[in-house]
Order: sequence, then structure tokens, then C-alpha cells
Amino acid sequence: MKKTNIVLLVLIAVVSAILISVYVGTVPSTTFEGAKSADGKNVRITGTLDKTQPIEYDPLANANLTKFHVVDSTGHSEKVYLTYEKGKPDGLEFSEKITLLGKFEEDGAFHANDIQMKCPSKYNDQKHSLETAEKQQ
Amino acid sequence: MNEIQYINENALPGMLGNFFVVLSFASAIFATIAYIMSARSKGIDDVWKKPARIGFYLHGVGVIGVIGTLLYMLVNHMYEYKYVWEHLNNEMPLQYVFSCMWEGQEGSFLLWTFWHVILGFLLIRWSRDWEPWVMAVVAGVEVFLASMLLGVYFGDFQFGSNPFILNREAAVNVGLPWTQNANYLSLPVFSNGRGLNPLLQNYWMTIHPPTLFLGFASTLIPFAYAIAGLWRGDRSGWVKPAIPWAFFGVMILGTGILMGGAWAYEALGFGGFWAWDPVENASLVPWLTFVASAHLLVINQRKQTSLFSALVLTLSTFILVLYSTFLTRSGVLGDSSVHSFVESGILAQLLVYLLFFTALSTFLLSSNKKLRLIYGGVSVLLFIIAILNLATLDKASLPTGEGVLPGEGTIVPTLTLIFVVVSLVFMYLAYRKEYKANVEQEEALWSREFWMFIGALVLTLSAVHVTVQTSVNVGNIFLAPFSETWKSLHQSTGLDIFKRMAEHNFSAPAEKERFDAYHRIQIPLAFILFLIVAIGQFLKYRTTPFSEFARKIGLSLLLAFITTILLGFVVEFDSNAGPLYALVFATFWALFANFDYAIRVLKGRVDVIGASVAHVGFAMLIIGAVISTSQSFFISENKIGNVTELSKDFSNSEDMLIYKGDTMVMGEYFVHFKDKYRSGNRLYCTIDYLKKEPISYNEGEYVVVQGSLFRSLKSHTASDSFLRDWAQDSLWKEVTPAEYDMDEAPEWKPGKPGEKLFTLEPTLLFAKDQTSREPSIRHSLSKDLYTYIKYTDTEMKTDSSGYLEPKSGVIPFGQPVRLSETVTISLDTLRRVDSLPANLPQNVVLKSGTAILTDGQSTERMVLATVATLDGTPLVFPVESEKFKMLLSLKETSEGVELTMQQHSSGVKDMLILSAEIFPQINVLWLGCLVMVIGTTMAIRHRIRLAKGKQKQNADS
Repeated sequence: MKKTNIVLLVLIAVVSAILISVYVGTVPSTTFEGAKSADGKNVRITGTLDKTQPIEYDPLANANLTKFHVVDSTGHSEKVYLTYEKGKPDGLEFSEKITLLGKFEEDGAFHANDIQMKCPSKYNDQKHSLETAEKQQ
Repeated sequence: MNEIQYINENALPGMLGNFFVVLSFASAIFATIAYIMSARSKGIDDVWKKPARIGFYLHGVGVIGVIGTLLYMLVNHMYEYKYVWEHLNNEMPLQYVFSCMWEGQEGSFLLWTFWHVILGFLLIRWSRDWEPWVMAVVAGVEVFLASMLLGVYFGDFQFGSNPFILNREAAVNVGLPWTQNANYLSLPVFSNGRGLNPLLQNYWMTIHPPTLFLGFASTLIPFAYAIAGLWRGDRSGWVKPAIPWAFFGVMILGTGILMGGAWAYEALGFGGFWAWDPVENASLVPWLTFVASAHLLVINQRKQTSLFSALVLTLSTFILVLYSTFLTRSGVLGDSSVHSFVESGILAQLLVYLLFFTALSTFLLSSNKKLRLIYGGVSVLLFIIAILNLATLDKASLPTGEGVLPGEGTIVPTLTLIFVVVSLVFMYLAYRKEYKANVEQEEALWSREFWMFIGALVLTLSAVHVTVQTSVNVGNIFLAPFSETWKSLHQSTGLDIFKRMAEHNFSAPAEKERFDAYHRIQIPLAFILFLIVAIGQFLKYRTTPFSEFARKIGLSLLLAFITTILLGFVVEFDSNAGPLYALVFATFWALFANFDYAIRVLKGRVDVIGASVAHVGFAMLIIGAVISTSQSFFISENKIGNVTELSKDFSNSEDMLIYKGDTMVMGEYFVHFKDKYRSGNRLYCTIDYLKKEPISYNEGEYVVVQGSLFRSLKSHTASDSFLRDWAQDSLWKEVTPAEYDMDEAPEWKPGKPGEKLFTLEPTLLFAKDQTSREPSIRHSLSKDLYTYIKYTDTEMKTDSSGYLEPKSGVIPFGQPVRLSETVTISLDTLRRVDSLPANLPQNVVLKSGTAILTDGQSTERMVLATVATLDGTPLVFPVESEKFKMLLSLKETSEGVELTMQQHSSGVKDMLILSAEIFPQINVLWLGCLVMVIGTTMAIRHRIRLAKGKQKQNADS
């Protein structure tokens, strides 16, 4: 076999491995309902902060634990225990969209160990303030 | 309608700016056409070269004029202009004016354009007979970039985004009532701008973007040379002049990326210098392919075996820069990055540019007229179909709302996919027909070009992985049109992956998964790469006798083995860190081998060792990165906390609670929380680091640990851990409190505070709607101490008499309950009191009991009571604890006795939760970067000399 062919074969193998790793390796997105039937596997949930419920953060008891409620895409609200080494995520209150990574534990709460938030951009903010520019007089 | 005369509006700078925008655009078009004409004349009676140059100089005047006008507007705080109002405010020091300029999308395009202009000027001087072709490409790219600033509307389609637009003219504001107010500038909102995000107000923001954009801009030159070569039909002649530029670009882009890393590390508090953040990745990918292409160019200069791959990589590097701009600026990444820019409505425009340059590059790869005609025809056809589809589309039928992908509902994603497939097929055909013949004879296994080629391939794979992983969201766009196909595939095969493809909601890995996702592939690839970097230089072009090669490589291999094994004893790698350990070995080998090569083979001759030095630097950089990140550890362990849990709490925690004024042990230091103060939009916590002096305990001495009393059994010097002294070395014995007065015994300490070593001041930065932490770092030769504020109270909300918000909860009898950070309360029971005191109404039920409050040092007893009317309605009578400054009250509820506590602000100690992490050997990384820059500079100098020498020879003969 020629070297070029060997290189080509290896190349194809590695590229396939990469694609598989990227696509199979990612954690599936689901809803709280789906997370409950995920058999203790980690899932990803996207939703919004439930503003009717308080955000509990007691840095003295556990600086890494934040408790809050999230409403998923089906409108279902669940209690979330977020363990995050940066403490309470900056701007959680203002987030537009929250993505959580975790699973349901026996205590009935969704235990997340990673969070991603989409926060309102500076630009949206500006638009808002200019719409009411005159009221601010 | 009468024209409104707006008061105090400076219209002139805007008009001037718009003039420069149009000038830069028009002259770029002119320069492109003139250079094309000049290229067509092939140097015979070239009447076009001069006008072309003038055109490009005018373009330069336009671009610099735009920048000058924008700076003038910023310096003069002209808030009537949208760009100024959005990026500047009155409080900002003048030094950040430049940062404001390139914070926004328009500004960053300007910066990029500016570097193209400067590089274009240099090319006019230096590119000699390549000038018409190369400059036609540069000017052509400038047409596209200059158009990004036009801000012209064609129907709904916005063509570019203009930095000279007035606030009242901006699309989002048109029609709002205040825009009809002649004196709108007196509105308070226009007296100050929105300002630069405080996160960006630091000196890295002044130097990182210009460097990075110079790096991006420099990918244009090898691209322009490659296009020029294909266009002229001189497929290999372009390589030599392109090489120094390619390495220059590699150096600058690499430096720019690392500056971004340094910024993240020093100022953004990301907790590291590399987070695989999409924006970081977007700049890393072109760098990887740039390095690969530059090395392939070097092979090609010797032997034209990998011309096709050199061309493809050189062309793709520039296209990848466009792609990364597309990714970060168009908003397709949405929420997966902390600092990607929001949708700026230029997605379509960027996409067209990206596809245009892809089509152009692919088109030129073949010189076969028939192939070109077919490819060109198909590309144009696809473009026309896309335009027709968009023009005739019923906007109302498009899906809207959450989760809709860009382009969903149109046929643009499908067409783009067809275009990509057609381009790949075309490239393959061109390769079969025109390039494969050149690689008839196989390269020898032990030849430098073979392994350099493999190295370039590994770099490309690495780039492919980072691109795919970063663009998972973009992939969804292309999965969506085929949902039905995936669904049926899922039904027939039952594979879960097809179901997920049908749902097309793959998302890029979140913060913590990200490291795994990238390292899984990148570490093995880096391992292979460094093996190649190690052996590469010892191999000769064409072929090397294996015995000679083995003899020379032996020394560095042995050294690498020894170093790696020794390192294995010194530092602990996790059991699952096998690949990382292997990578450390490979990087050490690469380091020693290149050092060895420079000294033994090249005899240290400064003019030729550049490449070896650069490789040594690269190896150091990776060694530093691997060691500092894999061996980082926290020294901030929590010492105060939940008393009941303290026996278990000897485990590592990452953050430490400390009160203002206290001095506590932390790692090898004593830390003293000296001060907390606010200045501007920053909150500082001043922390003194003191030397830890050893402390000795004599036999019979008593200490208190977590509320228990211990007696020393033997005179000794304390170790770092009480647990070790007590349980392992049996130096202490727990005794009953009866044996000694607990109040007399001191707290056990592993040492005593000595002289002050240094002070760190971690900071909280308050922006409008977010707080960010800025680390404070103590740099030393072998490690960095990296500290930041994890939590501290930023303000206390008190009522008029100074009490904080009440806290309440059900209190269990007979158990201590924590009231505040220090104080616990225990209440044994409540007894019904029959003889009511005179100050109470007589028709109530009173139950009272004695509560004990303690902070571990002093105690207060107080009587607490519940009072309720006969029908059970509770009445609340708060009692004050004088010692601990708090109001306490009880009431009976259905769940039990509820205790309400209100602390007085004077009793609250200022507390801080501090995190301190050690990054060992991080300086090796920065030093490696420096060495790499020096090495590359040496190599570039050598290449330029070679090129000049050749020209001289040609001139002489």
C-alpha cells in the first residue's frame, strides 16, 4: 500500500472520530419531564428564570450553592440547586435565557453543575432607554 | 413638513465622516479595477499602475480620515452620534478613547481595514513585479470591508453599518417623539453616553485588539499572493515572496491570541488564560491553519510535492478569518459565548462575502476552462436562486419566536450546503487533473517534507475539530432542512443520534464540559504534533539514512525521558491524566531536540537557528500551559463555618470566609483582611499577606479546636494540619472542659503571623447590570498567586433604626441554630406561664423559655416567649440581645415555633469570601511566547535575506 493511501485512511478515521466525538459527546437537550426519565444521566435544559420564586443564596452556609426556579420550554417550573464554583452566577436575575447542565437527584430538585446564561445586551437596553428619553426629563 | 433646525447638533463631523466613508469605498473600487487592468497589460505599456496606486493611496486617505473623524467625535463627546453615545461616557479617562473606537462592530472593521491599508502600502513598495496582481486582491478585499461601513438600505436590506449615524436617525429610534424635538440634545439622556463596558476598561483592551487585527490582516498577504499566482498561471512563483509574510502573520496573530489569554487571566477573572471560548477559538483556528500553510510553503520552496495542500491551506486561512468574523459578529453563536457580539444585522452581508471568497479561491484552483465554466455557472446560478427565493418569500410564512434558526424557512441553508459540496467536488477534480501528476514519486519515509506534511495535517485536523466543535450551533442550521430524512433514518435504524439530528438542537459545550470536549481530541493531536516537531529538523529533505538520524536524535530523547520521569515524581498527575503526561513528554522532547539541533548541528549560528528557537518557544509555551493548569490548586480553605460539620470539614474547599480586621492562616501565608472600600465603580478588598512563622507548643499546653479542648502531650512545632498532629502523630489529647478553663485556652494555629510580605487588592467591578470580579495576582518566578473576591456584601439594607431585614425560621428545641455567621442560639423548651405579667393583656396565652446565645467566646441568656390570644392569633414582642445586637421574637405557627431575628448593622462584621489559587510555572508559558516571537523574527530575517540574495543573483546574471 502506498504511503499516501495510508495517510488518507488515517485521516478519514480521525475526521470521523472527531465528528462522532463532537456530536455524540454533547449532552442531549431536553425538558424537565425528559430529565426525570433520563435515568440519572446528565442532560441539558434550557429555560428562563422563574421570577415568582426567590433566588436563595447563602454564602455562609455554602458559597457554591445557589437555589432558584427555572421554567422550561413547556412552561414547567422546577427547583434547581446549582453548585457552581464561582458562587452565584453574575447577572442571574437579569438573564433572558438559562441553560443548565445536570440531573434530578433523589431530593426531587434538579441538581445543576454548570450554567450558561443569555443576558440582555447593551443594545436592547439602549433602545429601551431612548424610547422613554422624554419621560426621563 | 418643515425641516427641523436641531439645536447644538454638530452636523459637520458626520458629513465629513460620510465623505471619507464614500471616498474609501469608491477609491477601493477604482484601485481594484485599475490594478486588474494593470495586471492584464502584463507589464507591457502599463498605463494603469500609476492611477491604481493613486486610487489605493486615496483609499488610505479615506480610511484614515474615517478614523480621524471618529476619534475627533469621541474626544469631543458628541453624543448626538450613535457610535459615540453607545461607547463613550463622561467619566471615562481619555486613554480609553481608542478602546471605545474598536469596541463596536464598525470600529473593529475599521481597525481591520486600517491594517490592510498599511500592509497594502508596504506591498506597493516591496512586491515588485507581483504588485498588480497582489494589490488587485488587496484592493478587492478592501471594497468589501469598506462597504461594511456604508450603512445604505436597499429595501429592508441593510448594506453595512455606518459609524456616523445620528441617534435620531438610527433605525431603532426613527419615529420616536423626541426625534421631532428640536432641542432633543438637552434631554438628560444625551448629556452622557452609555460608556464602555467596565470590563473592557483596561490596558489590554488598548493593545490586544490592534495586535489581533494586525494578525488577521496579515493573513491577507499570503492569500493575495496565492490568488495572484493562480491568476497569473505561475503556480509556484508566489511561494517565495509569501513565506516571510506568512511567518510574520503567524507571529503577530499568535501574539495577539496570547494577549487575549493574558487579558482573560489578568483582568477578566476567568480563572485561567484559555477557556475555549468561541471568540478565542475563532482566532485560534486561522492561526493553526496559518502555521500549517506557512510550513507547507517552506517545503514547497524545496520540492513541489504539496503545492495543492499549500494552496488550499493558504487560501482557507484567510477564508477562516472571514468565517470567524462571521461567527463572532453575526450572532449565529447566540448564547454560547460570554463576549460574542449580538446580532448586528450583517449576517447576510458577511455570508455573501464569505461565500464569494470561497468561490473565487476554488474557481482559480483549476486552470481548466471547461471546469471553471461549470463551477462558475453553478455558483452564480445558486446565488440567483437564493436571491429570487429571498425576494419572493412571503415574510409572514417564516417561523418566528424562540429557537428559530437563522435562515430557517428559506432555502438558503440548503443552497449553501449544495455550494459547499459542489466546491469540494470541484477541488477534487482540479486536484486529480492538475496537481496529482506532480506527486508521482513517493516521498521517502524518513524525509523532512513527509513529516512536515504530516505535521501540517495534524494542525489542520486540530483546526477542523475546533471549528466543528465551536460551530455546533451553525451545524443545526444545515441539519434543519433535512429533519424528515433524519426522522425516517431514526425509525429505520433506531439510532439515537438520528433522533437528535432531527431535533437539530445540538449546542456547543457549556463551560465545564468544554475543557473535556476539546482536550479529548486536542491533547492527542498535540502529542503527535510535538513528536513531529522533535524529529522534524533532524530529518533531511528527500531522505535521511535512518542510522544517522537515530544517532542524532538519541540524546534529546534520553533527556526527555529522564525529565518526564523526574517530573512525575515531583508533581502529581491525576490517574486519568495519561494523555497529558504523554504530551508533557513530547513537548520536552521537542524542546530538547530543537535546542540540541540549534547547538550541535547549526553550531548556534544566529542567522539560521530561528526555526529551532521558535520551536523551543512553542514547546515551552505548551509545557507552561499544561503544568500551570493541571497543577493549579486552591490555598483558600474555609476555616469558619458550620460548627457541627467541622470535624468533616478538614477537606479541601476552595473559598475562605474572613472578617474585616481578622488575620487567618491561608496556605503558606497569614492573610489579614485590612480594609474594604469603594472608589468609583469599584469595590476593593485590601488583603495583607504575612509570613507564616512556625509556632511551638509545650507539653501540657491547652488549645481549643472547633470548640473542643485539647492538651499537648509533647513539646513540638505545629505542622500545617491539626488533624495530622492529633490523629496521626498523637501530639494532642482531647480533654473534658472540666480540666481547664476553655476561655483561657487559645485557638490552635499552625503558625504565627510574621512580617508583611505583600498586599493584594482583588476588586469587584460594577457595571450597569452586572458585577464582575477582577483578580489581583502576585507574580513570582515559579508561580502566580491568583486571588479574587468570591463574595462580599456590597451594601447593607437597613431600616430607619439601623436594623437589617428580618430572617425567620422554625426553631427546633434543644438544638443550636445559627443566627448569624458567628452566633448560635439554643432554646430547650417553652413552658406555659399562668401568672401573666402586668404589662400584658390578661386574656392571652404566654409560653416562655430561656434561650442561650453564644458566639463561642461569650454567652448571653435571655428569656423568650410566645404570646397568643385565646383564639390562637399570635402577638409578637421582640426582645433585644444587647451583646449580639439583634432583635429576637417568637411566634407559634402550625409548623412549630418560629423565630424571627433582626440583626443591627453595628453588630455585623464585614465579611469576605476569598478565593486564592496557585498557578505554578505559568511564567514558562509567557517566556515561551517571547522565545517563539524572537525565534520567528530570526527566521523571517533569514528568509528575507535569502529572498534578497536571490534577487541580487538574478540581477547580476
